[in-house]
Amino acid sequence: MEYNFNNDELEQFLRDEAEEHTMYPSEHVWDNIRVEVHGETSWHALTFGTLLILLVLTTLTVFNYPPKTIALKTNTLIQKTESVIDNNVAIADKTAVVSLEDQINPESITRRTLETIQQNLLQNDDQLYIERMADVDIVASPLNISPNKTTKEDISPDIAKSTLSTTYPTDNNPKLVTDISDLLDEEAHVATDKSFATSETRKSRLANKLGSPLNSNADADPSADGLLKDFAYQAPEKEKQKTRLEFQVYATPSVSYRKLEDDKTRVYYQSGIQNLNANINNFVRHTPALGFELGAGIAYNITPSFKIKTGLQFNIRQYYIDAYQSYGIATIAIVQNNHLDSVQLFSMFSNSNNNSNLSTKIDNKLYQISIPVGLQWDIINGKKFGLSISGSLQPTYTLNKNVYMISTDYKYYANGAPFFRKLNLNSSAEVNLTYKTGNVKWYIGPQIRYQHYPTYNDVYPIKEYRMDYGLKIGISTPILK
Amino acid sequence: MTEQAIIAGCLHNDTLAQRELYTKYSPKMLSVCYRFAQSREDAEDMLQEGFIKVFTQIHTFQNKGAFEGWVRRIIVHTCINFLKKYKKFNENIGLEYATNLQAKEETVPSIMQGKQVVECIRLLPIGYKTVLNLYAIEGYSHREIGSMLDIEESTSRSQYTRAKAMLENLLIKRRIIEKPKEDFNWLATFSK
Repeated sequence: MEYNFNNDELEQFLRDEAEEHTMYPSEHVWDNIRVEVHGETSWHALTFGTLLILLVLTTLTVFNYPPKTIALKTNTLIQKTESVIDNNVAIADKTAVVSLEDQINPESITRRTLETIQQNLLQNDDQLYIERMADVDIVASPLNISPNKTTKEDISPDIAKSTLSTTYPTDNNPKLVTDISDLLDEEAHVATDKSFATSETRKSRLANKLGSPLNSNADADPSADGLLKDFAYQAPEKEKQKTRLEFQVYATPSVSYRKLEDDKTRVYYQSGIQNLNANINNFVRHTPALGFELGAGIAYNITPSFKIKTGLQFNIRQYYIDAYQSYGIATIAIVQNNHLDSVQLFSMFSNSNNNSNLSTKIDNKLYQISIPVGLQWDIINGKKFGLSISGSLQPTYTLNKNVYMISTDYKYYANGAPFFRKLNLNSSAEVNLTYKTGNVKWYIGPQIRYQHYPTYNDVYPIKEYRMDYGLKIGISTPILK
Repeated sequence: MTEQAIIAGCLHNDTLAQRELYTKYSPKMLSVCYRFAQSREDAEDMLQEGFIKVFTQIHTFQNKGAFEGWVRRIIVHTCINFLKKYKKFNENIGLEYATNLQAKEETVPSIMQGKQVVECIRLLPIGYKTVLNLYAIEGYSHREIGSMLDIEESTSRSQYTRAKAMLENLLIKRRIIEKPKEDFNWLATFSK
């Protein structure tokens, strides 16, 4: 309230007040700017992890379909039915398959109901028996009828003794409703007249009763098998046999170490280079960090205990660098064409704390894809437990480039992309304890992995070799044919 | 971190340096945007757009003059471009408009004075406040303002005169400034 303005004073007042005024933007503004300038941060591990999981799931699905439990159940039922048919007149074996469906059908009758029906049959009251059974749908009833019994009265007790699986007619399966008395007539006729077995009349009558079209191919085959074909009988599938191939999937949590070697050839071209006799490993503060490998592959059994294997593997290997936030120029002295040259790179991290800079940790992380090719020897191959050793060579491609390398005067860390070696070769060796559960073999054991070529190319004089020590956990399962 | 180090980092597209620059200048620049904008959301959009330009065009900074001034010019131009998309700057509004503005008559504590002044500026019609912001606070000439807003130089002058009168009324009403005492008119007194 102390101002009395003329025009210039008002402008000055406005300027002063406006300058004093500050506001703080929301955090999302910076996020949006960062995304706009640098793009979305992508996490390679997630992408490749997802791809590998998809690959593994797809492969497992392909090799395990249809599920073995269901296949086994169907097989048993069909085999049981087949054994009964061998000694008896064949009736509607299509019902063998239907019985499986009925097992899971909530409308299936209970054992108690069956017993009631059987008791009624045993009373030998034909009329009552026929009336009751006329309303019942036979779904799985291969009958044990002796060939020398020719009349309805003779075979009734046999029917009663046989294992009937019946359902009452419903709207859902009207075609299965069958008049039992007609069937009984027919069976009696079959027993007395052998020529009936091949006649067209018999086939059409049965087809009418069971509501199923007959297969014309059965004409050439008058046997029981031919008849079964008419009713879409499926012979049990042969059990799948193991091939020499195995599918393997594994994960290896590991700890990554590195070894640095400075070749110091630059010293021959320039005197007075600092740190001449120093060991570079004493100048840096690097900490091992956790990485992992995730892979899937195929193994081929050359002999029962010796196999060759290959696959696809995703690796993350990293270590931490203790550094300080400080801007500067990292000088990389290089020897090329017999003379000393240097490359200067902008650096944000110093190796020494000369100006009381903020300390920080740099994550020197590599995302890699490799194709391991190796051999495995099962030294002990017991019923349950075993022991194996294996080794592999792994051509490796590194996906990222934002790695940090130290300047040749050991003062700064700079982005090593210009010197980075994208293709490298690793080798691994491992010892595994194995445990079998069914067709699946589990294995666990220590693994060592070594990088053969330095992380950076030959121009960069400081050679970095990486080593991973990990614990491999995996499964292998034979591929069936 | 020094300004030179920040600039060097930004030239290398380093996120840490960019964040440092943003943290240093964004509060003041948001205030600039807020004076031009209709809402805080608009102001933040302007700020965001402005800083993206700063980071992507930093190589054009030639170390002539203050870096803050360079950033500020980019932000102001971004604000003008933002407003140009939606607004016209040619509107003429009478001084009566100022009397209808909802400004409570109250004594403003000095600590709040800056904010109150900014709020008063924001109450002005968009054309007025834009010209007033550019001329009185940002220091552009009427010719520059005319070319920036695609209006005549004379329009800029007249709008500024009206804007200033309107703002003065508002500031007096809010007791941020006192009404100037009228000079004693000796001639008029003598003639009576």
